[in-house]
Amino acid sequence: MRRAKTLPYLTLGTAGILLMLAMLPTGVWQTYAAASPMSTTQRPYMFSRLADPFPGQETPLSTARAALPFDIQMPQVLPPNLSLTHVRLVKEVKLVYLIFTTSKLAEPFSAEDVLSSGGIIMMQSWDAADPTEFISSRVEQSNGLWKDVNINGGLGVASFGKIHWWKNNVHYEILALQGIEQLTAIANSVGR
Amino acid sequence: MKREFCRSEYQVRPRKPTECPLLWSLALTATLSIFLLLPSAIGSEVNWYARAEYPNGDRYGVAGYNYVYNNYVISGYGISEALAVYFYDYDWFAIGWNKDQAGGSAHFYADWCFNNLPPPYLCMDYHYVDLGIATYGTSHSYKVSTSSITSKTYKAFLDSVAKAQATFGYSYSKPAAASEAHDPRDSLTGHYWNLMHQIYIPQTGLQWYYWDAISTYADPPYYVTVISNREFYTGGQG
Repeated sequence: MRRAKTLPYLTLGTAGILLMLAMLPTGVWQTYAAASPMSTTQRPYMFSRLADPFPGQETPLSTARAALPFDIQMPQVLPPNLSLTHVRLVKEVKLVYLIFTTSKLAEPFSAEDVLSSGGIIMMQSWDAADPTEFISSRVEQSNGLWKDVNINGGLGVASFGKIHWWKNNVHYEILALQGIEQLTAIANSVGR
Repeated sequence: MKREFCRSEYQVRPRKPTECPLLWSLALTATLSIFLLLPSAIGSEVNWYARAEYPNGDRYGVAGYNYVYNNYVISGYGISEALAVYFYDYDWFAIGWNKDQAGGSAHFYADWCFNNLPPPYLCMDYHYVDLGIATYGTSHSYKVSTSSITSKTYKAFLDSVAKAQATFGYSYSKPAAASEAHDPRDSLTGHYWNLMHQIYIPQTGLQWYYWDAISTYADPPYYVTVISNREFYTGGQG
C-alpha cells in the first residue's frame, strides 16, 4: 500500500530528470552558464580565446632569455606544488609566457587548462611606453574592481585573477585564479 | 496530534523514503540534476563561432565591412557579427551588430573585456555599449584601432564615427572578424569584406593594408567560406 503511494512521486522525479536530460543538447544550460556572472542586460563574452591552443613557441628558458632585450625574472613565491613547466616565446612582440603548473601539460593545451587546474600564467614583455594612462583609466572606470598597486617600486593595477605592473621598461602580468592579495605576494617576489 | 507536511512533533529519528515520498523524490531529482547538469554547463562550449583572423598578433587595428543579415534567432542571447582585436592577455575589443530576439531588430554594439577568465568567472570586467538599431539589408564599415604604437587606448568606429574607447595593457593586438551564436539552431549568415589591418612601418609609421593572409575557424554546424585573404562568408544552420 505504502509502495503504491510512493510510485507517483518517484515517477514524477524520474520524469523531471529525463526532461532536463532532454534539454541538454539545446544549449539552454550552456547559455545560462555563460550569462550567469553578468547582468541580464549584457551579452555573454564574445572574443574569449582562453580555450584556444596556447599562443607562442615552446622554447627552452635559455633560448627565450637570449631572444629578449630584458632579463626574464622568476617569482620566488608560488602556490604549493607549482613549478615552471612551459615557456612560450612570442618573438615578434618581445613577449614571453612563463607557465607554472603541477606537471607538464600535454600539447595542445590552452590558457583555460592552465588556469582551471590552479596554474599560473606570467607574462613579461618589453614595453617602454608610459603605463600611467592605462593604470589611471583602469582604476577610475572599474567601480572598485581594480586597485592600483606598487610592486617593488613599479606601478600597476590588480583585480581578482589578474595583475599588471611595469618596471624598468618591462610589462609584467600574472593571470591566475587568485585574489589581489595572493597575486600581489607573487608579484612582489619576482626577481628577488 | 498536530501533523505538518512530512513532519511530526514527535518524529525525531531520520525519516525513511517511504514516510515522505514527495520530499525524497524532489531531493533525488535535485541531487541527480546537479551531478548531471553541472559538468555540461561549466565545462562545455557556450558560444559557437565562425570566424577569421589575421595570423599575426603584432598589429594595431582591424577594419572592414559587414552586411546586416536578418538571421533566424531562437535564443535570448542571439547572434552577433563583429570586427575585433584581441590581446595576448585574452582581453578583447569588438564592434558590430547583434540580434537577440526572433523577429526583433538588430542593434549595433561595442563590447570589451578587461579580465577574461575561465568558467565560471568568464569576463570579470565586461563592458557593453548599445549603439542603436542596425537596419537589415545594409552594409557598414567598422574599425577598431589605436593611433600610435605607444598608445594602449583603442577606439571603435562605426561608419567612420568613433563610438567607444578603452585602454588595454598592450598597444599591439590581433585582428579578427567573427560571427557568433549562442544556440546552434541560430543562423549565422555573414559577409565580411575589405578586411584591413594596421601595421607599423618604421619609415612611415602606422599604415593600413588589406589582409594578405587569413586563418579561419568554425564550430560545427557553422562554416566559413573564404573568398580571398580580405573577404569571407559565414553560414550554417537556422
